[in-house]
Amino acid sequence: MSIPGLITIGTCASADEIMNQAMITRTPNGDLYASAGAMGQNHDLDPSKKKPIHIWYSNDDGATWVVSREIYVDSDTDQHWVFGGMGAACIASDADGYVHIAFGIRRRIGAYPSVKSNNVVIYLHGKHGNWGGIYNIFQADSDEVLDCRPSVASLAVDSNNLAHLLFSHCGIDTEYIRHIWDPGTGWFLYELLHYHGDYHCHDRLVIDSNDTIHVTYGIKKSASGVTVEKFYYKAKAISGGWGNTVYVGMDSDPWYYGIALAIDKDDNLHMATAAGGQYRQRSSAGVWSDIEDYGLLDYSEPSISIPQDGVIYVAARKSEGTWGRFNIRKRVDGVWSDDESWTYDSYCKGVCMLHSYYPKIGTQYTNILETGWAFHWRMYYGDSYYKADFTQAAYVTTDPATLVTGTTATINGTLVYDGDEDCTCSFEWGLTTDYGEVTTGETKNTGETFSAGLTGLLAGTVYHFRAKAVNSLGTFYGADLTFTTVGTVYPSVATTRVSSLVHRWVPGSYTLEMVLGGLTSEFGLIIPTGKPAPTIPTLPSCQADEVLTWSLERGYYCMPRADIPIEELRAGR
Amino acid sequence: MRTISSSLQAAQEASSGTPYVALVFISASGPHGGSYIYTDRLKLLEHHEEPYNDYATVMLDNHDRGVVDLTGYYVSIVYGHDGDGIITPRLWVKSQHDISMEGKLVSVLSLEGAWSLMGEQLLRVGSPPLYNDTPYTTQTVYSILQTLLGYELPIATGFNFTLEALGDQDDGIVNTFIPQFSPNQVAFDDFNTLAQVLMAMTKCYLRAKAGMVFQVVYPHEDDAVNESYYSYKSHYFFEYAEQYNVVVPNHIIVFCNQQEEGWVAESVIVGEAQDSTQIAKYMEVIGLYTAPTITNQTDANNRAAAIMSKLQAEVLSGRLVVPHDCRVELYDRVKVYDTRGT
Repeated sequence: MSIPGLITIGTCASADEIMNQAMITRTPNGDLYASAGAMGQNHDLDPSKKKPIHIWYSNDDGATWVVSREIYVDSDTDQHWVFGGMGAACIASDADGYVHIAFGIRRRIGAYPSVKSNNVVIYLHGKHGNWGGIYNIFQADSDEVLDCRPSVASLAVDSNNLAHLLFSHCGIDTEYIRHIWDPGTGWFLYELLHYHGDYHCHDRLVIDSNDTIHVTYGIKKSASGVTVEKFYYKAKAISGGWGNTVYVGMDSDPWYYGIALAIDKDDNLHMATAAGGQYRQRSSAGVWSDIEDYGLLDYSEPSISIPQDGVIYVAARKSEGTWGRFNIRKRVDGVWSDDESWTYDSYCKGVCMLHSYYPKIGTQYTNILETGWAFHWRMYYGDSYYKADFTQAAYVTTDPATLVTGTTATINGTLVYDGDEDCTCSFEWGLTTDYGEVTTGETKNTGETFSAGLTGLLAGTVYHFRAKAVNSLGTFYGADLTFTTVGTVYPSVATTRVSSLVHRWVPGSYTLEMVLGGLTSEFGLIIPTGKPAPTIPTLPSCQADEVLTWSLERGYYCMPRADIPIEELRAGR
Repeated sequence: MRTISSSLQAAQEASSGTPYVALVFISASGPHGGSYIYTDRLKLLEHHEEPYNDYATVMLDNHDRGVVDLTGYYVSIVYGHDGDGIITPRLWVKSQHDISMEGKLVSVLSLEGAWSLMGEQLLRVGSPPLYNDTPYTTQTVYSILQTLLGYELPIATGFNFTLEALGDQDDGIVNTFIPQFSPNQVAFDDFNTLAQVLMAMTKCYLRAKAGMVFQVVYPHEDDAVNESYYSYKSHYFFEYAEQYNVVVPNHIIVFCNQQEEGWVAESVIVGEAQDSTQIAKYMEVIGLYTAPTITNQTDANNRAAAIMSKLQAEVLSGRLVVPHDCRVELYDRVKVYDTRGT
């Protein structure tokens, strides 16, 4: 079957393969990579049923795809399969265009669903035509079920191109572990994030512009077996310790439904759950928004995307019996609405991943992934394939102002990506983030810079500006930047007012002299009415060797005269 | 800020143009009556507008001995450019000095404004001879001002003074606080003094405007800038000097609620306000004040805050000299953009 308007990434090699959990990423040069796990359909011991992790590649914005890598982990005859979500690969690109991939393998010895053994997490990185080796980065206990599907694991790359992976494995002992990939020394850090006693899933990890790691994760049961079904948040600097655990809310069974996490260009976090269709934000300043209902109920495996400022997509899937549905909701300026959905007479088991519009690539953010997404659609275990759709936009950056004087400045921008069509680029600028002024637009294409000269500016004044790109797909803005013109603004106290005026006119000279902040406080304080008549206090009677004195604390009192020798005072005089 | 036309604005900002001062002296009942236009006789003018005071000195050419006796006349000086201008608060000619010297005959006028007039007029409300048996005990500060300036002052002077509507200039005190206001208790009080006392109860100022109108002004930190001056474009400024001062006192204590028998310790209500920045910067300097008729803590604190706000307004002193700008009024907010030396 096919779904109109969508592009097939890949199909199953055979009828007994079940693809699982599509993920997609884009490199800075625009290449696309999609991944999916696979598993044998019949769950038997036939080595021929061993299925690979698929990596597809597109260099034409997703119009056509080729197989870039199929990863078979084991060469021996052990029976193994990438079971369920384990088969999916977490995938992320770095600033140099390399793709980092991690996935879990669950091996099995014996007939389904018996013994599980030697479960591992695998990592590799590379690019189309230049893939690196496979690293076994985590070996689970023999009786553990290892889970590393995208719905339960998450991979991100920091500004040093180091991959960070968050995943869970469960069994008798269950824990969350973080791995950091160092190209020189390999994976070197296993860090327990959370311990509990039962199922867990939907680990999500993003890295902000300051290389702070933010994670969300679900807890199904506590260590004592009590049902919890809550989501939590933590954050830390790469080399620092974890901050406090924050209860996120939006309760639902994380094992079945999950949570999505994305970060925008301003380092605000966006998260959504699918069971109750709820969404909330955590600002870069740490302020949590109220929970919003976005309109989907009983969906699972949500994914979230921020394609541009003020626009958020949440996608999730739902399967019941022999039918399945993918549904995408859109939030524009706080208002949720339907965007797209597909319902077919087949069971959809996969995740629809809408990567963040601002995936972090090195130290820069780029939004060239935009609304690209991939999902897996499965029909009766017999026909599995992936499809994707890409709507390109544009990405423009605001660059620092140059040639700033007291009255002029040059503001700059770069059109990082034009959406494959001409963009009209300009700037909005003004004294506040409301801007109010717009420069003349000029036609630009990917990679081109543009500038505008501003004149008539006020000295010593902060100006805001942002780059703007317009094409047929919309209007896109760079970040707000500021510059301060040279010079000084007086008076430097906002409440200073004109307190006297002298108009002078003599032949040839016609001036106004102003005094600012002059004396006004004494006016009216000489009160001619109702003036108080202080009560004369009763004064103490002092002895001959004492004097009457007064202090703020004691009022009037007697104290020894200063001219009396101290010896006499001590003698009781 | 005096509102002017865009053409006048452009004219006074232009590098060329002729400054304009118009003098029309008017008397309804003087010995000569009528009005005299002496604009062309002007040789020198210095006009001061200050808090609770305004005055001017005008020298007129009197070579033809044509200047009549102008004492008692009033004039609203017009400032502007190229024959267009705007009037300023009315001034009365209080004295006239004719000078004869070799080659010159001039007449020098001393003019005083409404504030001086108010200082001369005593409030006569209640029963003579003391006029102190009708205190104001049920009106807000603003309402008392309306009564004094818009009713009693016109009766006393014969001129139709008014108080402008408060609008958005409410500091939360001026039209809320009801003082126990009892004029003529110690001496006979004049309108100027009474206006000062009333305004001292608030964070507001009182501005005299053209047309014998008074206006309450409450300076806000976020007030729009009324006039801007530049070192590099019109409206240019000639000179700006600025100095910072420490605020002294910086901790205001107001003792309130005096009893009939005097100040009873357990009845005293203490209102306080302080400027912690100034205290940290310098040292704590306590200013003690009394407000015997304030009987609650809110009003006591408001009084302290009002006094503090007036002191804080003096933390910066500036002197700005510009080519004449007829828009500027007392208590305007101005900004100076200076790129000199860069």
